[in-house]
Amino acid sequence: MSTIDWVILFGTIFLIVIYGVYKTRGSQDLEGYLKGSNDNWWTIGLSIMATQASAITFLSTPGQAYADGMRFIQFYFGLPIAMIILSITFIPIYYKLKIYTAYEFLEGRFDLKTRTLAALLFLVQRGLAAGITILAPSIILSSLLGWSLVFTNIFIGVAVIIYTVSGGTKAVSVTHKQQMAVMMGGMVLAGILIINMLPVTFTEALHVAGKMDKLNIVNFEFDLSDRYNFWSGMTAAVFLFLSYFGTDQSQVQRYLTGKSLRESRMGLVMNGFLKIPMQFIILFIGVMVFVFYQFYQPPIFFNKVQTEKLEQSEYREDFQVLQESYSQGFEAKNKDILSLLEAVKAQDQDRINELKEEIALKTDQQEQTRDEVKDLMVKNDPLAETRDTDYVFMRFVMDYLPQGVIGLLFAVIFCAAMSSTSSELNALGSTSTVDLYKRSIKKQESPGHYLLSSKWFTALWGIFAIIFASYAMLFENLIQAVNLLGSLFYGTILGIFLVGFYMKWVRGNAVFIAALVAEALILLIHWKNGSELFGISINIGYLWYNVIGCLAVMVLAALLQPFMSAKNT
Amino acid sequence: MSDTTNWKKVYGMLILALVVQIMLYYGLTQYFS
Repeated sequence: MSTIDWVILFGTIFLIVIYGVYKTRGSQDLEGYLKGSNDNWWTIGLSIMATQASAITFLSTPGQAYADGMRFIQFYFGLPIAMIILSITFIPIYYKLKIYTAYEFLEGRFDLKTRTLAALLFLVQRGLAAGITILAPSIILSSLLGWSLVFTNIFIGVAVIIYTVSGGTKAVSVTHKQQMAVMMGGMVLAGILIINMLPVTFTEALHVAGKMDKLNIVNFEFDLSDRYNFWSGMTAAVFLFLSYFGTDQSQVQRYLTGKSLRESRMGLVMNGFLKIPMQFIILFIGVMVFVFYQFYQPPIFFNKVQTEKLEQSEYREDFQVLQESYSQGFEAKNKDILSLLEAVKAQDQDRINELKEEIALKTDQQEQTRDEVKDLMVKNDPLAETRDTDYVFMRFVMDYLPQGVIGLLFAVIFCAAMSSTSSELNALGSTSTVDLYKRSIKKQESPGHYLLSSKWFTALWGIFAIIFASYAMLFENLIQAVNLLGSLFYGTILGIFLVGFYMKWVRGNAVFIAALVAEALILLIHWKNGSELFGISINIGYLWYNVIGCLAVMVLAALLQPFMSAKNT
Repeated sequence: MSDTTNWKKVYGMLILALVVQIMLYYGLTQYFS
């Protein structure tokens, strides 16, 4: 990276941290620290979007589109529906109760133990997720920038801790605006530059992407084992989003900062309008990078650190042979792609089909060559990471985009990491204080004491996230790791809330036992997924855990309630 | 401050935007495949 890139990167991060601290300087009371300062709807909308957009979104998503096409977008189809349900059901109740955290609602509706259980489930799940939110970009950024992993974790973690601890919810929401501006500005600029760099017209690029199965945006075929299709997006994902936006304090805290019920609702509606187009842009950029690499030879493996290791190993000659074979394969495939474009122009459907098959065959052959390279990497270093999709986008940025833009796109990734981590730490600190410390440990202290303890809890969760990030391992795909972690717990939490909202006759004990059983069931299903459980073969996409967990709580609670004694309710 | 927003209209617009996007994306999928 050039000096100007470093200046842009550090300048952006430094300014945001300083701005967050400066805007929230001076004395603050507990209410202001936990609830923010009467935001308008667009601030709330941006804050909700910035919270959900983690660095993983900008690293994994283009890579996922590069490898797997755009079908991931179907996951977000359920989001606008979830926004409407939340806006009608959840938010008015939260406003009426004037609560700090979502879990406070559960004590009034059920009892203390149900509130504590939901808060604990949240703390476990979100505490680990905060670690992954820092770790995910750190792995890639440390490799690209040549920094150590632990240093990168500390760099991101400390930057966030400074303003989140100092200014609380208000600091989180004021910095989200700047971070969203950097993120969207950077991505749109990258998209425009990539399209301009293509040696073919935009329509031709779309034909190349479409004929190579990368514009597979919508699939109406129903398949339970398929993670992303229209049906999983419209059903299972709705449950995930209801749970994430309705019961996850890192999101609930964003819209509870609203000036009024109307502003909070409009913030969610804004998210409903903009989220799918935003994901479309990010995925589309990944597809355009894919098209670019059909005309300019891509690296055989996108993580440079791994290929450099191989070049210095005893396998370097084997690696060279594979690289030559890969280059030849690329040239042959490139000729076919040019012929394909001719066939498209001539509207010769038979020739198009013939070339599509030919290109698919050559793509498979190239993938086989890549697999052989990965085998060599493992032979050389059994612990070598052989997945490189998360590196695709930033490797492209570093190799092809101009100076200055590179720094800006690194700033995008850092901003994204900071925006989601700050919401997480803010929510973890609030929930620890309000639902556990203030409610069950030290009940009669002054507001000043709780303000200070909120700051301490926020800082401690930040330190925990940095330590977890420094010891956790790389998962199959980072974005999926976070969604999976969420899906293991979200269904149960959502089930408790839905029983609370809609099943008025069910009381505390029944829902508490139902939640414990449902959580055990989900963990059992996940453990046995891909094999047999009670003689039944299980193969389900993890998104369905949300549905199963939620319905299990609702059904079990309804069945258990008649057996609970009248006294205990 | 009373809320005079026509929420049915707002939600209707949101659903409409979703349906239009899905149709557009399906069209893109089919046309370029």
